[in-house]
Amino acid sequence: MKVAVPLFGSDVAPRFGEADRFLVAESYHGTVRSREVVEMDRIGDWMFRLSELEMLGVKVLLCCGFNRYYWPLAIERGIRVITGATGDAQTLVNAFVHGEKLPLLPCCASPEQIRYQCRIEHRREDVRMQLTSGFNKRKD
Amino acid sequence: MVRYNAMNVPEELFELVFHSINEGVFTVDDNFRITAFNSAAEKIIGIPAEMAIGRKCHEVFKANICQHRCALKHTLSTGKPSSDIRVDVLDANMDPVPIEVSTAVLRDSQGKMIGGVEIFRDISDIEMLRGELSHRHEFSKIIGASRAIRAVLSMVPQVAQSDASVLIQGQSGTGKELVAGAIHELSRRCDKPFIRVNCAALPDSLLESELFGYVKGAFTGAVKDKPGRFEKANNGTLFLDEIGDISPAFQGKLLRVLEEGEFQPLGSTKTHKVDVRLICATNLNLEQMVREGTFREDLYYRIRVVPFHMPSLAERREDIPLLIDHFVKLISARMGRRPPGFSPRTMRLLYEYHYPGNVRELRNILERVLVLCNGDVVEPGCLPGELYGPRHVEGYWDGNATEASLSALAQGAVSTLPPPPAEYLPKDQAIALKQALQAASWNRNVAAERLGISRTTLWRRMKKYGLA
Repeated sequence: MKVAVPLFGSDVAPRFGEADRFLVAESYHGTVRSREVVEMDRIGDWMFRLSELEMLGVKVLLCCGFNRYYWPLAIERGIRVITGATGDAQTLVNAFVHGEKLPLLPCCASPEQIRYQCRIEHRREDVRMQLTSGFNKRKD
Repeated sequence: MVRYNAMNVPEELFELVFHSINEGVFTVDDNFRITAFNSAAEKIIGIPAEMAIGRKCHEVFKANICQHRCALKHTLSTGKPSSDIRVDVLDANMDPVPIEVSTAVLRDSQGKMIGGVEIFRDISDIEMLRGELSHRHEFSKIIGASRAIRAVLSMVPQVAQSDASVLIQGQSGTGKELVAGAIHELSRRCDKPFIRVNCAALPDSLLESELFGYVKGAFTGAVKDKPGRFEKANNGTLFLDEIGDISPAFQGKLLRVLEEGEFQPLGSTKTHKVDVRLICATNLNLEQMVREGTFREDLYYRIRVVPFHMPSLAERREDIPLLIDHFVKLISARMGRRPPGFSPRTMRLLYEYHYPGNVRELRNILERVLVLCNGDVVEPGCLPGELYGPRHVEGYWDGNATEASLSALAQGAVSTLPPPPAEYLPKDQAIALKQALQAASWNRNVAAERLGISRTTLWRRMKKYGLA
């Protein structure tokens, strides 16, 4: 399974649409088999970027900011998006592949949001699955 | 114990002021790690201070300028403050929020730089209401980033500079009037009238008096002179909407006026000369009407000096998320409520629907949803039935639907998406790549430039398709 992370230096880029480089890692049975940094053109062209990731065989996109209105475009291409990821990109990929807890910013932050739980249900689902460690330890 | 600073002001007072102001305020150290984050900032971004403090500011704000044009970085490197910079951030729900930011350097008592401060305010309501209240046809009102809409928009400024007649064709609800307005706004006639006439709404006799005007006594009830729309649009732009609906008899009259640039109001013997830029629009296929003899060929070529084709929403499906974002904020601001979230399943249904009524239909659906759904999250149940109707299942209507497809429908797994644009299909991409390389005599720099991609991407694709 291939995982992509948009880069800002060595950190996760603040926004998927603005990153000009992506770390693409391939995992196999809980280990990282290969890593490469892929340059990406057309800043802001979501269709193009998602198509490029699809072409590279990416199945999971770990990123910090991802406009939720574009989420169906990623789903359509078979790419699962986990938002709110922060910190060093390599560490993040390792944590994901090894099924460890991901450094995610909360999406249910303010009291009113906590009351209604997360609005981005897919993300809550991802986090819940990750926390129960049934997601990341899945065989590739 | 109350601590005092150099100015002998209790720190509690600073805290109180810091958390009481309506503007979001945060400070960073010289590594761009957040050191203070006030209550307004928590509210706008949706992340509590205890989670934000200690993190790099780009992780919390996710602004469109973070990566390449960071205002705070510029201020810290030059020492110069900046003010009122328009920025888009993503809040905790991954909703874009427009804000205006001002930045300044923080110094200690010795004048040494210890970090920076950013003050920002949420301008989403202001932006939405300003856009809604403005009756001007602005370029910015045409929402979309797809290739199809960009092709249209790129032509507008060029076309606006001339006085050539424009014919805008496209399905109902695609934004033909917005393009007509944008052409007028960018033309030298922008400070002169923009007059719109819906030709389909009026019968011939009324249309004639409406367009050319009449003089007192021309007919029963004509108690005083009335200028026509042509006269009102003098030196400006006349927009004839639904031009395909006028009768053949009126087509002849209109052609004469367009060719000679002069007309006589009803009942008058005096000829009026006007300088009008003409923009016509229709949702009918005029070319076919000309072939069938229902639309005059000479009038067709007279009004079709510059043709525009407005893409249907199905042709620019990738703009749907942007349009949803725009309309939800616009309608919510008008209703005085916070924009609701959409569950993934709702978004998918909205994304997959075929929208025969185009953007207008999408807007109406969202308006209905926001009126009927009071919750914070819009679930599929709030959507009108046609969005997940049985027509999406192949063979449903002729009774050939399989049990599996009906079951898939029930679970929302049936995709109704049209194929993505050809350039995004691997097969067509390979052909386009080969053609570009051949045309450039296998010069990768030239081919990459022609395809609008970098050499790295070109090389990656060449390897993928075995062209390297």
